[in-house]
Amino acid sequence: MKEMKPRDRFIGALRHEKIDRVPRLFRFKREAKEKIARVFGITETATGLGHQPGLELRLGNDAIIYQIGINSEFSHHPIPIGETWVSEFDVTYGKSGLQGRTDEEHLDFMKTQEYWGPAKVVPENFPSAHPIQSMEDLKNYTWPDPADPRLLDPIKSLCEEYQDEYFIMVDLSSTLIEAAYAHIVGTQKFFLMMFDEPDLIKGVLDGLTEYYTELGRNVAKLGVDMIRVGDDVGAQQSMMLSPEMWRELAKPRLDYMFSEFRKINSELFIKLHSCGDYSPIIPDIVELGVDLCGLMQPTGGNKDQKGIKAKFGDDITFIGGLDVQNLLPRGSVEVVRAGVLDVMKNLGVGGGYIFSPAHYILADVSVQNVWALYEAVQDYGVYGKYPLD
Amino acid sequence: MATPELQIPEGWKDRAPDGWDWQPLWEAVERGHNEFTHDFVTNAIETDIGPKIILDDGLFPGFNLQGDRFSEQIILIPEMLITARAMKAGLALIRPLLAAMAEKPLGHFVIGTVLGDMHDIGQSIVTIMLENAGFVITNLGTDVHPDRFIEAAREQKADLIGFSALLSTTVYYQKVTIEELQKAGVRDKVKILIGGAPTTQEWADEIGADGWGKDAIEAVKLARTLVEEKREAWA
Repeated sequence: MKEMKPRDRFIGALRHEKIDRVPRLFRFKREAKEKIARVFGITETATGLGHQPGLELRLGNDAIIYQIGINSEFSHHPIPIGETWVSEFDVTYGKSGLQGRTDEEHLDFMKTQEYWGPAKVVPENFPSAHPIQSMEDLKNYTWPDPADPRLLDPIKSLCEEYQDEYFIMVDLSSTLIEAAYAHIVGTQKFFLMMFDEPDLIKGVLDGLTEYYTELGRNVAKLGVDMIRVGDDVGAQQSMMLSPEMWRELAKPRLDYMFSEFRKINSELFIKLHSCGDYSPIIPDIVELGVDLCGLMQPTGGNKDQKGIKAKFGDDITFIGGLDVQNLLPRGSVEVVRAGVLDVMKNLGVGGGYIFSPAHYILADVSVQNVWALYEAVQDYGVYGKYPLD
Repeated sequence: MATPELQIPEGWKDRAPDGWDWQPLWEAVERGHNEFTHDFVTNAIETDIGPKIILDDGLFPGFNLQGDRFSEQIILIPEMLITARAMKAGLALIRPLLAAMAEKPLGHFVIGTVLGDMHDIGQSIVTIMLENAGFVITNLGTDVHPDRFIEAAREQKADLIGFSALLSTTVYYQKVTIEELQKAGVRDKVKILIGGAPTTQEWADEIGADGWGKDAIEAVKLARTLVEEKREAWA
């Protein structure tokens, strides 16, 4: 088959059409991106709001993914050791990995990071204080500006520069339940408040729905191809909250959000992401008219990729499925290749699949394994060739 | 798998005053009604029911039922959290009474999330479960430097140490923490349990932990077994 344009390939997979090879989407966290980019002599490696897609395109990504939600504000923001940073959402973030470690010790520690190999431990940004703890807080809370040009202008530029060739995806994560528990309220508090003060939880979710709906409308107006909503409701072995609760708290709000996006652009593709095992709500996700959803953490609850694909593969396109918890950071080159082969056999056969590791590639993955991953996808991701013949 | 059922303690009526009924407390703990639990246990104490009886006949049935359901994923984190909170409300009232009776704890357990990792919901559920099972817990919180595990283990003369890691980039610190415990001469005085989403039995074996808990229920079972096993004595 003639080689396709990346955006046509990506759209082809979403429409379950015949395409030349499995489209792919690699994403990196900052430290990993810097490490891998150096191998290719790529120096433009910004992540988050300054995202530069050079490395990802070099590795054959068919789409450009740009993140503007609450996660983009926090997870890519450089926070100096010992300091905190307050985001536009009024959430306070600090850096982990530093308790009991002085600046000097930290420098020493950084020297021990293996440049070519996996990093040993990467300090991460984490929320340390949450703005809404009571009805009073909710009343006084001001949501950020959903028309902020700081968020929207870079998307316009990306579309102008890349959309002829590549598929443009804008990521609004984290969007609803996750934004509420992880950022706005705090996890334990959120779960207890679901029972103690359901109106407070509903108020927070309504606020988020309003903010993200308006932000998404503004993004859709820019002519992007896909909006990605990321909302982690899966834990390793099961969902975090029951499917019934998700149906009550999340589903109608997502339904509203998606229909508002599609009022702006009826052709817009929608992706819904959750980490962990959320297999009980895949039928609901299909019902919401979602085009693409991830098959996350294959080491977790529902490992039956073939079964899920057989059951829902005609109704939705899947992305992901390669283990990033053990296989990618700790497997040998052979193990990585075998992992890619498995995923292609389970999910790639018959189309309607986009290859991706189950999540971001983190600094714990060696350069060698990223290369092995890249080569294996080249080898096993071509339609008409083993294993996709 | 059998659907978990309420295990009614055999002969509970013989241990309670005439006309006493634990049923409302079993249900309150099951449904996570912490205020009701607090009031009911207060009343039981005032009625002169022994603290051990309140614990075994009154509090545990509803709690164990939810624990079993949690283990089978019939209920999930939110429901388990409110039940644990109700259990805690009851326990807070009877713990001083149990201590006064010189009821010996099962063991001292130091718990925390390893350096670099801020996830705490899993380890806080494990903490409550262990407390309820009768362990004395020192919870060091999240992002815990190995030195703090060593200090706390020494101070508490700990029987067990448990550390959690939720990121593939921080599980390595479980290994480092064990190595540091070894260097400090503490390793063989304690039993070590690990847990967290990216961890496995193989990883536990590789880094020389004594046990791996797939979930909170498993962790408590393991702790009960391991605490009986032989260790070097604290000086």
